[in-house]
Amino acid sequence: MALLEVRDLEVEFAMRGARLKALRGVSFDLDAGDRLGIVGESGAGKSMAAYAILNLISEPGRISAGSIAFDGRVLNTLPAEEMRKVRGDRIAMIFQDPMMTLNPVLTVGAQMVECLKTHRTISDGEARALSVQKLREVAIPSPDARFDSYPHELSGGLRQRVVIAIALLLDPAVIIADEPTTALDVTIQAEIMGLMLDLCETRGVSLILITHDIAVVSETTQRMLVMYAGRVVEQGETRGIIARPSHPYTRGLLQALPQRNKPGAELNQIPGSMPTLAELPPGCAFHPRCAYADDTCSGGVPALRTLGKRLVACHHAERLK
Amino acid sequence: MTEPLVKVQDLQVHFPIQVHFLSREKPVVHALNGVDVEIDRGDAFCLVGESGCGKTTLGRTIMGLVRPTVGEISYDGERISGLRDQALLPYRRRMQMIFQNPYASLNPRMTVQQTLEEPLRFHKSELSDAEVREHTENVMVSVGNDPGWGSRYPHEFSGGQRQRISIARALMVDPEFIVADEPVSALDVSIQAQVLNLLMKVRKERQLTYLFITHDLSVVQHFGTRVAVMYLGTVCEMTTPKTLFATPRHPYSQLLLSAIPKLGRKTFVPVKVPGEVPSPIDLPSGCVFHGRCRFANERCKSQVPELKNYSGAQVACHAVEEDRL
Repeated sequence: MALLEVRDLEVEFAMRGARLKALRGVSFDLDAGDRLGIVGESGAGKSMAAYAILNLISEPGRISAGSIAFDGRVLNTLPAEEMRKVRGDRIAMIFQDPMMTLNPVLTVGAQMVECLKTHRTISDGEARALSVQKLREVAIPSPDARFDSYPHELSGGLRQRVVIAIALLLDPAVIIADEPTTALDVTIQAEIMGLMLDLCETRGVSLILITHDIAVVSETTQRMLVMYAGRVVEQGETRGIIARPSHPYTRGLLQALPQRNKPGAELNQIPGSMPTLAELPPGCAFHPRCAYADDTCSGGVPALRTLGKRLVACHHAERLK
Repeated sequence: MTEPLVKVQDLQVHFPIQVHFLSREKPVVHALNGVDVEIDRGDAFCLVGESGCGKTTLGRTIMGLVRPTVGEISYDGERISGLRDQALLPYRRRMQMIFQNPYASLNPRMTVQQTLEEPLRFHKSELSDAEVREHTENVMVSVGNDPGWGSRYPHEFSGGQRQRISIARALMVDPEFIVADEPVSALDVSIQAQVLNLLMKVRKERQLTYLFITHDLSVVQHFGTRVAVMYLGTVCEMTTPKTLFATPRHPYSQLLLSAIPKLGRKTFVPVKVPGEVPSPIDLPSGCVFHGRCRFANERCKSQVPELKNYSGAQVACHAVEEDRL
């Protein structure tokens, strides 16, 4: 059994009398030490998947179907009190913007100690010592002094290191990182990704990396999901998908990247834009933008089916081979 | 040689910051520290660098939105820095700007038609209503927008559509020079390609000159004809994108290139950069990059390197000059 098993996850929002499905039929396994990437454009449902795993979907949204099992326990039916013990402790989350994640009126140390004391019985001295040690592990210079700093006194890169240190504080089994480097510059991004990979590898922590940047996923994960309009359209080994995408959307995304085009030539663009959940087209949600689309595509939603070593939700996936 | 369209000489921009009103200290942010740039007609000149390197300040100063502390900017052979607002007006019509965030740069209370008409009514007040409407329609069609959008408001459009409206607004007065400040950074990949294609198309059709500000080197490689790499308010390397990607010379350019995630690279190659970008308030002495550069020596700590010509590139680095790399 895998460490984290997500099955047919569905998230629904009740909006103005209608029921909008923000997430439909998402399933995946995550083993200890695995790294999984979730890729998609804004509104595809990537963050929704992360929030659903941690049971953080709030009204008017709810998990309307499916299950999330972690270490043999079903998370989505846990009482709030029990779930709080898992969250931050066994499964930690890293958000995009470190300035929004950290409390600006508390010192770095206060936030770390708060987290420790919520989950463990620990003395002030031990909490401080442990926090400083974690700050050192994420390579923050002079961790003792930084323990007493406020978030605004740190640079963006250092702040994200603090967030990672907090995520590691209770030695979680899984870290979910939602666009952890999107707000950072490329050189800082490279450092932070390097640090996260290193820490995950040496401690056997599993990582779910949510990002819009396929290149980052291609360098850092073993398996990936590609999402579009709330559904998984392609799922499998990262390397294989990058080399030979089977879904027209994945292929379109890769071909639209400037590095996949001849300099100065017209870029291969995907026409149109992703539909909103309220205006999903009938059948395959991607068909109005797809070069392969025909009547079958507007007629029925393609099921996520096995194709070779991979899962693809496309009626015409064979034609892309 | 023909005169460059835009010529920037020894440009310095310092922003004073408030400390305490009784304090005698007068600290300044050194946003630009002696920048020399020439943009030829027809160039797609790219400025790259990380946040805080001064690329946006340079664009805004050229546009006349920020007053230079020291230095000179000429446009088409005429000095435009230091001109009064009134005297600057004819130049304003010839240069336009496209901003990063199409959610913030369009007035939410104005219809698309009003947004597009405004620059035209201001700069070409002699036009009749019918002429204005006709021109608006032509521009909308040329950027691939439905002219029927005119009566709608910005919130009714997606990010990509809004950015196309911003581009249409910039084109309304038939400019020859456009400063585009991170025009695709807020957009998704599939939409990014659409907007980049549009920018390339209008450049060709209208023989535009671009100053393209971005942090994304893959966009530079695809789009640019020339590129300047900036670090902490100075230009460290200036060349063609092709040369930069093939043989980055400045240690900072090399660092920047090595940090880009590569599609299909099988393993993660960690980048080792000692330290962080220093504060632009207390600039380091000598070369601004010396604190993080593994080639730095005593000379780098004391003497500011100048941009010097090497076959195909201008580089500001003592180590390159002394062939120590």
